[in-house]
Amino acid sequence: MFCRTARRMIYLYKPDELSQSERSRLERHIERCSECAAEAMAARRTRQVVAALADRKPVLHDPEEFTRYVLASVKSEQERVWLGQRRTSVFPFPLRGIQLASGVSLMFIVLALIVQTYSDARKVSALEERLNGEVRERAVRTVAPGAKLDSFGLPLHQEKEVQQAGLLGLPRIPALKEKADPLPGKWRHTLIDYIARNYPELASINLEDGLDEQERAILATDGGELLSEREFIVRAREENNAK
Amino acid sequence: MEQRPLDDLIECSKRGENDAFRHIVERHRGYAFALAFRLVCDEDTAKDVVQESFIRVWKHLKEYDPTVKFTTWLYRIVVNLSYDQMKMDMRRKNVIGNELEWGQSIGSVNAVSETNLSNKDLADQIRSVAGRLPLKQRLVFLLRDLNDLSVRETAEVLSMSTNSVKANLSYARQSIRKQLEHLGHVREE
Repeated sequence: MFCRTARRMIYLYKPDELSQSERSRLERHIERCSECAAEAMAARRTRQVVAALADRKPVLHDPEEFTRYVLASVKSEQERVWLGQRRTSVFPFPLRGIQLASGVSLMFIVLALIVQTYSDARKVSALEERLNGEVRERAVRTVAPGAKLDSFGLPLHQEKEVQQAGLLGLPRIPALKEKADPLPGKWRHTLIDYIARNYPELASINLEDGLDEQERAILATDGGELLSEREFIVRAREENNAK
Repeated sequence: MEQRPLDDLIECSKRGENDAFRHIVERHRGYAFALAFRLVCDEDTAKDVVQESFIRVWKHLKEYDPTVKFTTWLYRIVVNLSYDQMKMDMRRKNVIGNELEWGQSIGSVNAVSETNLSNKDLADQIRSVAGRLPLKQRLVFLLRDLNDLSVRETAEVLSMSTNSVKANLSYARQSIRKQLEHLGHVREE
């Protein structure tokens, strides 16, 4: 036996770790080899220290309390598993497909509603923006210097177009379509048309001569802005005539 | 009072009898705790490991193969959970026991027989003796030498061959001898 093998076997000192023949061979080697004999002595001392350590048992304090704790955990696990099984068995096996399909359908319906609502909101927003844009556009335009005006003080080369329906109960706002190059001042044409349609009592207004008291009162209550617009038209026309 | 046979307790537990399972816990809690404690070297962690082990036993009792000894099956669960814990500790501390002074703890190894050591002292001693062994050698050493499992049982619990167990055991004991020698507890003649 080589010393290297012997050194390995010396540390297999417990009864079931070496066969009888291995142990006999090892003992014969140790009798002849002083170095391995010394190693065997050291191994015996190691065995004693380890055996002393093995004799010391860790103490489980309050084992009954620990058992209760363990059983409570097991019970809670039982309930968790039971609840899990119950959840999945609301529908018997053949109907579980329906359960799944219902869930998926519901999810799609909710998703479609969300998309539809968002899409509608965007459309409304775009329309409102467009209408507001038109109103703004009309407000900033002024009479072009030197433009040829009709008896109402409006450029002659513009024509009225069909009115568009209002949205969501907003007042109907007339729309103009310009033939060639857009000319400023079309808002006045629109304004007069608007007055004629929505305030028939003002149809007799003679813009050349101004308004009477009653007409002014109506405009002041129903359309203060229209009144100021009207004054602006007159002023613009006078300026135009002066030029 | 005569103890109910373990097979009977297992069968009753499989049918959902909590009382039978309580008997199983009562019968094995001590050894399972000692095993876990010697592996993880911490009382609270060992308790957690044992608790989780019994939960797993309960969950998988229907899959239990009666050809395997119940204790071997239980110990395998305890060892596997402890092993996970040991690996986590290794990662956390890099080397278990590196916070310990070897001289201090080995000094108390020889004096333990006359003192009633607390679990913490015992954990320190185990760490000082086996804490620097490679994980596989440490497992083999702890199961075989401290928990007194046979070579065959150790092999079954660790899913190793008996030859591999013996080789690891021999290397582990040699390393421990060197450490003890280094501290003057074991001297070459």
